[in-house]
Amino acid sequence: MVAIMKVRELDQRQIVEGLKALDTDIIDDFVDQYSRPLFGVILNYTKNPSDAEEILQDTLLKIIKKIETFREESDIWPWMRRIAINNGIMWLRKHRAKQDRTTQLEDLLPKFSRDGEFDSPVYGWSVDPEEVYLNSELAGELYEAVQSLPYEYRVPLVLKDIEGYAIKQISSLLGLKEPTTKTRIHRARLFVRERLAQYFEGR
Amino acid sequence: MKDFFKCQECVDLLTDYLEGSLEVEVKRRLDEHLAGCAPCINFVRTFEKSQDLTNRLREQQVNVPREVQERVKSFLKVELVALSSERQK
Repeated sequence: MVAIMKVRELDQRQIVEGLKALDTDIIDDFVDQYSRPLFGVILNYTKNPSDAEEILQDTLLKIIKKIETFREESDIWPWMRRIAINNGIMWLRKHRAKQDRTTQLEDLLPKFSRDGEFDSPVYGWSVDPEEVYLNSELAGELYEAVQSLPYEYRVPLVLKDIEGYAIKQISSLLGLKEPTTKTRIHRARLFVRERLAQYFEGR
Repeated sequence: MKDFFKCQECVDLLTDYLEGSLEVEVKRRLDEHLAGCAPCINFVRTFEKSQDLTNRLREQQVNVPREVQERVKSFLKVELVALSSERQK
């Protein structure tokens, strides 16, 4: 697995103390060090660069303001990551009305004949999942597929399949019943599979 | 209930199937269908692969444009001045 951060100039203790003291030099280094991984998390919630920048700013500011509540015996990265995720979700909630709804989920769910068989052939893919690190085109395609999901499907999918949250956590975070969360994740997965199928099959 | 599952039912149950949360009898019937259905086998494999690839988006590296980083730093400087004067009160 590729480590998310190659350079870790400041150690955790320096960061925590620097942020608490509002030390501007430390904060600059902290921004250099953590903008990239935080931006990666945030881009799962919006693909608009200026929105992502706004969320990044807000996330970094929240981290600084909340640093007193961070429990120092734990690892700081998951804590910061959670703040970024919460900010991403909050941002989406606020802006969901504005989201374009050009993608109809139904258009990209598998189609069946009246007797319940696949309407079109289902092919295997000759892709080695290990390739995804090397192949940025595929990663881009996948990212686009996730981004084109309607909000109510995208967020549960991102939280489950990218962030690794449990159904229970996702449900309480989004105020959904567990079966609803599960159904949405399932349908979102079907959608993403279909988009990738189109990509792999060159349709 | 019908005796044999159709492809559509298999697809509907796939997430539960792969995480092992189906009832024994339902799972048995799904396995039975899968054993004789090439399209469904392809579907299950590509569904799993797609999920596996999605999991890997977590490790994707992104670039933050330098000017974004600089703007973020200036934003924080302004906020920090406000924050520290608030604290001194």
